[in-house]
Amino acid sequence: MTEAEGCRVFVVEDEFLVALQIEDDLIAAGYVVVGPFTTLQGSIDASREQNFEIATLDLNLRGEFVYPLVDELLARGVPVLLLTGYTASDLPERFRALPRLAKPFNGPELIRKVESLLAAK
Amino acid sequence: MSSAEVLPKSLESKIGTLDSPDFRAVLDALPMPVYATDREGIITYFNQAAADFAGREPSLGKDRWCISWELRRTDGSILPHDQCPMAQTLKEGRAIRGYELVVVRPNGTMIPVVPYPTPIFDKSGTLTGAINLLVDISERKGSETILRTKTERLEALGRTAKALSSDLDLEHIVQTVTDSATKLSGAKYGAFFYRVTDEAGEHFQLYTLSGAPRAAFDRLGLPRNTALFSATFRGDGVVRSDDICKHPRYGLSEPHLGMPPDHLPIVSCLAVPVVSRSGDVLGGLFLGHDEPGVFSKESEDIVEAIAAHAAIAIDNAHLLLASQREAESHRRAEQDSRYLAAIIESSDDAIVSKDLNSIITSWNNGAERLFGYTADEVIGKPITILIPPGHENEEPHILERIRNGARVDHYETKRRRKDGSLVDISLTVSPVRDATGRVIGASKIARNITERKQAEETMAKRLREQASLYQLTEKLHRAKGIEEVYDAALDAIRAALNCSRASILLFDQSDRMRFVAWRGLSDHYRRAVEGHSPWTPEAQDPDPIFVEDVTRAELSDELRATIASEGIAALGFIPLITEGRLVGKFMAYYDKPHVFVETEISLALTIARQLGFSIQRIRAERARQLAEEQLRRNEANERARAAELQAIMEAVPTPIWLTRTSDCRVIDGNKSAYDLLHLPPDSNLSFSAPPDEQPSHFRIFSGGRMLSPDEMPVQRAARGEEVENFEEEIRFDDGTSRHLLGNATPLRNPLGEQTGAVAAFVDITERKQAEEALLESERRLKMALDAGRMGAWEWNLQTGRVIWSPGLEKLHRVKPGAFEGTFAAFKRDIHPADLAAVERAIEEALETREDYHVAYRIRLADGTIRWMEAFGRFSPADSGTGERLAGICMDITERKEAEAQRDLLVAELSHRVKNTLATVNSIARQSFSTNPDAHDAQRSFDARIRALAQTHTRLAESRWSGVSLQTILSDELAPYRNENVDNISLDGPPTTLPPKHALTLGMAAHELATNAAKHGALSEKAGRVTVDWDVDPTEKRLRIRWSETGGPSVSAPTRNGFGRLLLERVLASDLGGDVRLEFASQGLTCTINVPYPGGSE
Repeated sequence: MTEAEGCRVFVVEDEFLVALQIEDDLIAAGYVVVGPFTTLQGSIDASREQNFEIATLDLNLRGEFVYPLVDELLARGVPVLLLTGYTASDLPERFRALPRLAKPFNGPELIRKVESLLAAK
Repeated sequence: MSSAEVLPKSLESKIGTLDSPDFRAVLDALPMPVYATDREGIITYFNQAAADFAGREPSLGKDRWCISWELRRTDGSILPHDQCPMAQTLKEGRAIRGYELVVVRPNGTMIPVVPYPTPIFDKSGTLTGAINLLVDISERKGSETILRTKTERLEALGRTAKALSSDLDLEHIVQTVTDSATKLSGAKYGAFFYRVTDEAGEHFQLYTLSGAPRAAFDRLGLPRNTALFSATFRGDGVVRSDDICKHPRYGLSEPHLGMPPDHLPIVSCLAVPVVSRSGDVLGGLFLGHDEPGVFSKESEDIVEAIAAHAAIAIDNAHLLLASQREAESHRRAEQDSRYLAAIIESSDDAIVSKDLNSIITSWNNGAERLFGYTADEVIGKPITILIPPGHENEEPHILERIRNGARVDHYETKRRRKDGSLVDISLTVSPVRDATGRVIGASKIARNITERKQAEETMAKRLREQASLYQLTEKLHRAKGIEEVYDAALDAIRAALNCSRASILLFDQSDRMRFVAWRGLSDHYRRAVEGHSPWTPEAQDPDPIFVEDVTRAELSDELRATIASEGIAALGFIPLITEGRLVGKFMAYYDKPHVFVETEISLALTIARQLGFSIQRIRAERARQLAEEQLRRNEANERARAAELQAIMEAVPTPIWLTRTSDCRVIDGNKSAYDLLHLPPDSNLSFSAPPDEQPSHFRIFSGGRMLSPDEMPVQRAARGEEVENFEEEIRFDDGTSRHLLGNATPLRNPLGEQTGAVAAFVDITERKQAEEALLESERRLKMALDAGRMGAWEWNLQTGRVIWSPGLEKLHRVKPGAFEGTFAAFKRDIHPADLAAVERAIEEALETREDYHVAYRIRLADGTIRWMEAFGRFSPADSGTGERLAGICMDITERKEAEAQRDLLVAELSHRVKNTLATVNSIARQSFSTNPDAHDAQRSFDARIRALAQTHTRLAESRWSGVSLQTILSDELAPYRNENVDNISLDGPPTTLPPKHALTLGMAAHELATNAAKHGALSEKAGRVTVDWDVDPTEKRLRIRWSETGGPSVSAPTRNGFGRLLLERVLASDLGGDVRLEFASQGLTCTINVPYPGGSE
């Protein structure tokens, strides 16, 4: 996991217990966690100030969908991993093809997805 | 006229003495009155013309100043003879000119005259008399005055001229004789009478008188050669009587048989004859007295002696007079030749002498003025140089008459002047004889009558003008048509205005001046000038316009050229006015420049008035005729139309009702109406009729209600109402019925009075039934469509036309009938995102001819989005219509929304379940990783999951709307509550927590309660937990304070367990709150301060 060393991951998750687990898993794998951020506006503001290589995004932030941030990050060429309990058909058409991890997920799954996205980058 | 001039030598030499026959002939031949007087004004000569002129024989040697009976001034006042111009000439010794007088004849006629008195001087320059020439201006005067004739009547016919006294010595002699005889004889009265013999017989003329006023003899009459005085008259002897009435011859003579009444009171009488030496009885001396016996024999002798002396004296006086006359006649002869010369030269008339070969021998100034030749130029030349072509045969005729000694009087002809121009003259030619009476030549007097001719012509013109006006008036009065009016007016214009051409123009309907009648104008000219007008129809009282000379008038070059090419040199525009409005004009055209005189302008205006009036009259007449004709035609048309309508009415298959009274007591129908109602023709169809005439086998309904007679359409129309599209049903007693639709309209006569009504109906029974059937099926369909929020549509593939049912229009929120009916209009409402899908579905259906089915969104005008689902099926082309795709369309928005809601819920559920599982997963990891004691960790995890599940249960109970803080706290603390010691106290306002708050705070309360039970206040019996909270509504924050007392002494934990993590980080992170933990020795205190969206309940 040497390639993960120091790699910064932007984490958006409004459920703190879940965020805690993601954070633990990523740190354990050698990543640096930026966040976690719990609101849409807070995460958009932070995304513009922080440097990171990849983002894991919860879809529903206290009723608000994270799509604006997704669009912005995609436009910046940042790989995005959606972490959600929604199925693909619940998503708007254009987001259905994005990499997605269904909740609940375990640590190794998360790390594998993050790694593959970084590799594809 | 010039004053007397020196006679031409040739003439003077020919004039000898007064007795010269030449002189007399010339003088007598003068056609003008001439007379002469001596220095005192006594008439010494007059010619025949003068006597003719004066209407009397002037008394030579007696009449003074003038030969006339009476003279008047032109104003009619009497001019005394001694003030006449002739008297003035003699007083002042100069010619007097410039007077115009009127000579009154004894018979009362009057002649206007211009006198030319000229003084005569002898060689020494002494005034010897005067000659007067009277120029009769009655012809001229007459012409001039005809129009203003004032008839003046003679004042009195019988006025006698006063006898002029002679200054002869004889009179003195006789007066002396009479006076002395009277005195010497002792007579009271004395008189001398001349003996006179005339048509009345022999009588004495009273000459002188003594002892009595002359008036005493006025009524007496003069002594006549009566039986009494015959001796005196014959000169036989003296008559002497002491009493005249007792004389033996007294009273023997007619008529008085004695003295006339009122005779001087003569009693004594003495009458002595005066006898000349030659034995002629010169007269008699008559003496008388009012007393008898006055005259004695002595008296008689004295008077006889006086008479003898008187006779001698009178004889002597006569001799003196005779010798005086002899001397006078010589002097006069000399004077008269001068008179003649003066007359001739002073004459305005041309006086010319010629010999019998027509050679001119004398030529006066008048002739020079008249003919332009001087005497030197023409004397010795033939008179024929004056005769213009065409008059050559006049001279031989004149000469012929002269040779025969006859005169030519006032022969009017033309002569040629030196300059070639012609002059109108009146010619008088008299033969001139020598001393033996032989005709040796002729004297011609030519008078310029041009002026008179002109006056006559003017007069004739005036008469012609007046006559033309009278004729116009008469013709206009009788004119039956406008053409006759125009003809009459054109004749009158030409005659009255002396023009060769004329026209009449009137404004047409477009206010353009157009020729309506003309004389002598070319088509070209009329076309060229038509429309030209100096006035518009609005002109007020325009004045006539006269162009006296076209070449000098201000006209456009084009117009001038047009007028000139027509040969018009002058023209007049005279406006025609009727009823104060300008309607046109008439025109007078002249071939030469023309000066319009006052009378012409006045006549033009008179004609214009008459013409205008006549045009108006004829137009009014024409309008009346047209109106009458129109009326007749209308009547005929009306009759024809009525018959036609009757026929049509009978023939049409439509039932018609007709009533001719407004009360509708009788209503007729046509054949269709009777057929419809199953009634024989001529039945009364009126329900307003008396009961026994009314139809009885049917009733009329409308709108489901039976109509009273007054509500029926014919009856309503008969009251003046227009009844339109009235639907009624006729229900027959046999149960059948007919539906009718029609109109009823009032009938009015031309005065607008209500005279009945007519109604026409169409039998719509079949249509009605079909309509009702159709309506029923449509109604059912509509119900179905409405119930399913559906609409029907049809798309005709051939015409491209799209039909929407009202229901579909309603679904599209389009007003009924407002859908445009095109495919494009249909597509316009479809949501852009779905349009492609719809088009694809249609294409597929068109390709496969299979049913069409598609769901799509439409966007309404207000932006609302609705879901539609359409089903369609092809119907093949049948007769008249092309292939169609028809179907229905449903609004499925609610279903779609319900579906979306369900999908949302499912997604939400999935999200929450998975989130919860993720949370549980995390709790598990935290519980087991932080607690080395697996068993304890297991128990803690179970308790945490149960607490979480409990909050879920509470949320589910409230359908996730929220849970109260009190409930959350009670639930978590319930296992540790000891009712006996009241170890738990909860205090705060009712506060509802939203689901996220409830779950997080629920977990926080679980950790605090678990911790208190394990290590804090609830681990001992005396321990207590107090929770109180409050809400700051302005800051929107919820503050919760957890405090423990009575437990074991507390110290800060050595490691951070799950509970602390949850409190300090999760609460801060998930709720954005602030948590403070104080590990005081008496017990734990936890203060939670979190944003709180709602207020207290």
